[in-house]
Amino acid sequence: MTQWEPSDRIDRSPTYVSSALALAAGVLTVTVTADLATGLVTCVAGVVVLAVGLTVGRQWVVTAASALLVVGVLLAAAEGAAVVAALIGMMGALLAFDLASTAVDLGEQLGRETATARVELLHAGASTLVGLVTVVVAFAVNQSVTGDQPVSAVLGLVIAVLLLVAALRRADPVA
Amino acid sequence: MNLRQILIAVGVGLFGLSVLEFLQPGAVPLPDSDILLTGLGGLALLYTLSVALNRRRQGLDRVETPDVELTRAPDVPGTDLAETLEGFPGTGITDGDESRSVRHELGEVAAAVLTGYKGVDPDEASKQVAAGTWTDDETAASFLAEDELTVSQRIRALFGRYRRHARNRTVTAIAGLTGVETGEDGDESDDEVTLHDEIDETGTVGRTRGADDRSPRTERQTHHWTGVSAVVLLCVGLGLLLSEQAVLLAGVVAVGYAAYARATPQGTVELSASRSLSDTDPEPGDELSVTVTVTNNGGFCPDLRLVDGVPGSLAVTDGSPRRGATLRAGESITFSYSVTARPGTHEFGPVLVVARNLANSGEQELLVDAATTITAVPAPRPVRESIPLRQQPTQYAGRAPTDTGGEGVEFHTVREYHPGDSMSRIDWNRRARTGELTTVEFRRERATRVVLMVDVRPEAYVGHSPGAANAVERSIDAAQRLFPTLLDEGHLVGIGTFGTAETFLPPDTGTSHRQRGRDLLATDPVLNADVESDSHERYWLSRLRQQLPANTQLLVFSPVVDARVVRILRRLEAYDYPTTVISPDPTTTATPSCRLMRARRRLLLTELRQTGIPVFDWAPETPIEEILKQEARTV
Repeated sequence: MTQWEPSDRIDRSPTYVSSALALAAGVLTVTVTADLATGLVTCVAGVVVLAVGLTVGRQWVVTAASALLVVGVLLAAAEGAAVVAALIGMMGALLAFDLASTAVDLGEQLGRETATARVELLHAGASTLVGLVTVVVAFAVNQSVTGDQPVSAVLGLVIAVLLLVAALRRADPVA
Repeated sequence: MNLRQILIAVGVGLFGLSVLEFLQPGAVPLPDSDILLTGLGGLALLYTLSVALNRRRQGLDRVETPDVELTRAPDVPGTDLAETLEGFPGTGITDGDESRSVRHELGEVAAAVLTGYKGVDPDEASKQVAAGTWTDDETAASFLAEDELTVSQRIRALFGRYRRHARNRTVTAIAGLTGVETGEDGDESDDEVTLHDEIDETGTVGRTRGADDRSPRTERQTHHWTGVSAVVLLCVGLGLLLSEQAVLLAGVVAVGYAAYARATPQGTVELSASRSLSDTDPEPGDELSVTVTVTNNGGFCPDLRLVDGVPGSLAVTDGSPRRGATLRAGESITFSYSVTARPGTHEFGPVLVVARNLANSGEQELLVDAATTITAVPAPRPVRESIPLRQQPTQYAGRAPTDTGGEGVEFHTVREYHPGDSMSRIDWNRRARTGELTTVEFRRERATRVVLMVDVRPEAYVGHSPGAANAVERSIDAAQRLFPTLLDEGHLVGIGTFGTAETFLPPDTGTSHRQRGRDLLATDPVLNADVESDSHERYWLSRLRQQLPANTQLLVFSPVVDARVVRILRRLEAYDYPTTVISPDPTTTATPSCRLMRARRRLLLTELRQTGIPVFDWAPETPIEEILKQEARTV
């Protein structure tokens, strides 16, 4: 059957700028978990899968890669990584997910050949800024609360967070 | 107050109390239990699992954009075997007949081909098919033969592959009866024949025209950040179970992103668009530069994804009709690309805009109107070959030779002199030799009334490859060439269509008629090769007959892939409209099913020729002159 030649179709692969930035975020996560064995292995695997996902342009592969990165960061944290490393690692993992998904989305909607750099840089900038702000806030909280925390307070906080997450998901039942 | 608001209120309240407890332990009566904390961790993990599974089911949402760069692909006839079998000439196979198996239907088709193409007696044909002597291919013969399957065939049939393989062999063998050979590009893999059409998934049908049925503005969540709540829960759960501060705190980053996604507003997008063309009245084949300007009339738009509404009939040759843009209030963006003009009228659609908010969490889809139309009327390019018309003189002088004697060029007869005969026509040689006075008669040349009929029924929108021109386009192109030629030859020429009686130009002659015909072929919406006419007009044939003057002959352009057009042509011929068919061939030999479609078309053409209708089979990529040079074959 005479089908479309590949050259006839639009290249709907992930866009270059966001892909590169996503990989950079992944690499950032790897660097901050570098001195902890299990976490490092998982994170490196995550970056490799991310690269594969961005090559084939599949959202589920990209999501799986980001999940690997998140798990890697948590493993590193459980192994005793510094709080700052855990925070920055988590930011890198979530940024990698955000930027890689943006690359896949933009590729799917506009194609790789389209001029999209400005949009991509803006997204990346905003997401990085949000990440940095939360990292700083979390670190500040960590520094200000020293000594033994009352279990009762932690319990209350955790229940509050669970309730709020449930509320967010309820607002958006399909989410 | 709904559940969500209650949850938020309780959550925020508890959060405040906990912070208070942090600062002053014992201030709030909260339980103080490590076991409870661990239990909560487990609960959070379970919730994580549920969120993750939910997300797996939902996936991300995004607006699909059409392949505007490409021209709409014509259907390749015979892609679907069931469709090829349905209404096969000489069989009783009808649409949706579930009672008979494909094998049974193929048997009928084989017999019909033997009868129709090889001239075998119908009973004899059925016997040959039942006995398996109709083909040299043993697999095909035994597939249709009525005798029992051999043991090895039965075993192979259990695996399913055998039936499929045998079916393909049979389809190929039947097509081979009419001389249809396997194409050069025909890969003989067994998977090629499918009972259901698969081309839509690889081609772009449906996608290119997707903009037509979109509503002007829709808003939606992209669910881009949904997974982040699972990360929050995972951190909380693991953090509590492992009593690890770093893990718990990592969740704060995820909370930050979740809040960012929530807090970023959808934003209102107010855009306007305009489009300019380097030439709105081009010649077909000209390269046109299209410049699109989109202006932001509202607030800041961080992420705009623009796809211009290139007509489905035009292919983008250079540049891209897509653009990603960030526009501040009042700012505008301009981008341009090139298309190659094709004959006809082409309407640009609205610009499709997908606007995302900064966090990527919300998406709006809108169509921004920017109507532009280009009309490309081809310059007249008459064919140099004489057009083989059928004899049907009118009383007007013209150039088509008739069977009656009179004034003319070509010698017809010699007859006795009648007083009043022109001196120049007296045979003076004979007068000198014998003294007899005789008059030479020439073939009288007279004009003919011709109507060019283009088949625009939905069945005619087929082409031999998804990238090629469809049969309607080729027909219109040929009609555009033949129309001035016929006028030059002194005929009265009209234009009509198969499929609707609305578009009809009565046969006439003269300069203004010539221009009218040219414009009609180039711009009439019914004769638009890109848009399948969806009007299933009823009784068009009887209305057409009322419009057709007597003593008119028809030159019909039709791919002849369905039995109905054969019935129509035979009826017109019977109503005394001498008909000639020029048939653009839309069939291919790529798959067994396509080959069977070609065999089916050959059978239909044979049927036409047997009724005395001359048929020109016009293979793709062959100039129309080549076709006209050949004698029309009648059987």
